[in-house]
Amino acid sequence: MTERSEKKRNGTGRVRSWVLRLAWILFILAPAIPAQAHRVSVFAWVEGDTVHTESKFGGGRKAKGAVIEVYDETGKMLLTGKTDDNGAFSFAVPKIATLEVVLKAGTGHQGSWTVSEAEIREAKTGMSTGSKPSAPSGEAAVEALTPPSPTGTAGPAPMPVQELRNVVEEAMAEQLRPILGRLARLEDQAREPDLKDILGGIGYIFGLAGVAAYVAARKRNR
Amino acid sequence: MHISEGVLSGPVLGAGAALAAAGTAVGLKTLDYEKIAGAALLAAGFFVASLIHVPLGPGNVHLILNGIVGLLLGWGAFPALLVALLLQAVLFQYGGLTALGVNVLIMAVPGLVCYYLFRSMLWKSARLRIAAGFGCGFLGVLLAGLIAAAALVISEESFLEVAGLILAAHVPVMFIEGIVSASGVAFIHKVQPSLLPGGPPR
Repeated sequence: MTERSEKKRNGTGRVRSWVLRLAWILFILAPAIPAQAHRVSVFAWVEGDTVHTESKFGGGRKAKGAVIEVYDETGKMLLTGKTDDNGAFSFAVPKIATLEVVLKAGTGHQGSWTVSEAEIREAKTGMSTGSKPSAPSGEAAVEALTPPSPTGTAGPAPMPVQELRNVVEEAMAEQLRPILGRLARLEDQAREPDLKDILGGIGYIFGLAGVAAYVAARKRNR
Repeated sequence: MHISEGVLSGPVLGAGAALAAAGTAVGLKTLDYEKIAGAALLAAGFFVASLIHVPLGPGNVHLILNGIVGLLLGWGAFPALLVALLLQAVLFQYGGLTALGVNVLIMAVPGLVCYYLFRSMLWKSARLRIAAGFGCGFLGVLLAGLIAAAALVISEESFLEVAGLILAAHVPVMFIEGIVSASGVAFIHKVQPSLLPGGPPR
């Protein structure tokens, strides 16, 4: 009986010492700055027939001089290139297909981003219809939008303001939809571990320790 | 030093998973009732330490603590680090599920080496003890870098180049870890010497 209680006391001493050790670990870690994550991410979007990519490490540092490889759905590599000092790399759409942009930042860091076929088509048609009626330069576009001078008789009647607003809003929503979708994906990808995640992970570890202790205790009692 | 999903080739991933599974099996055998709480605390410490990143050089560095986890747990470092790395992969996409085995090896094997190399030095003199602690931190990172480079060599350019890159990025970490581990060992020796492997000499 006494032997048993002694054993038990020994056990609590051990537990106490582990708490001390945890305190030590936290003490060591406290001054470190929670700055960056250990992940690279690449983000790609299409403009006309050019695909732009932006690569960075978690936390926002640009991935400079990293290798970008572009694959089609069959896994065939279409092209490869290196990011510049801003972590950017652009290339002409090599073919109308779903493209997988893979970022290789070296020493085992890798990320990828998928550009869908629909996105590429959309960007392409959007550009061609957008630039057909007028020259692509901004000045010309503005000119086209301004109603013809009052002396002109052939020009269309100016639109009522409300109607014009509706049309513009509709067009804006149409244009922004894919961008908003991509933004959401980007935010999701760039999400940093927050306190909730970290505490959740620690909780899992202790839960598993509980399971292990239960199994070990059963074994010992048998 | 987490290796991402899709970087390594199938055979490397398979071999890594098999070796990590074997190490974990041995580790679970050595983890008796009294050691479970400690293993969990060290796993939690490792889990948190790897999340705190400081930008340095071309990438980011963080404390790894695999040397001291190995020193204190021996083979038990395998299951402890497996759990921590699994959670990092699932919760934060650090590393990846397919690369989990390789990542466990990268962290646990150096820890195990530290355990066998340094445990006998803990009980000879205070100076040797500090040296052992420093060696744990230093060697833990150094060997982890070498194993990571060895795993990467199959998919990337040359071993020397990759190893050079990884090690160059981690030289400061080696020293920081060495100091942290040395002070940790000294602290544990002061407050609870029975935690150190081998126990106080009778």
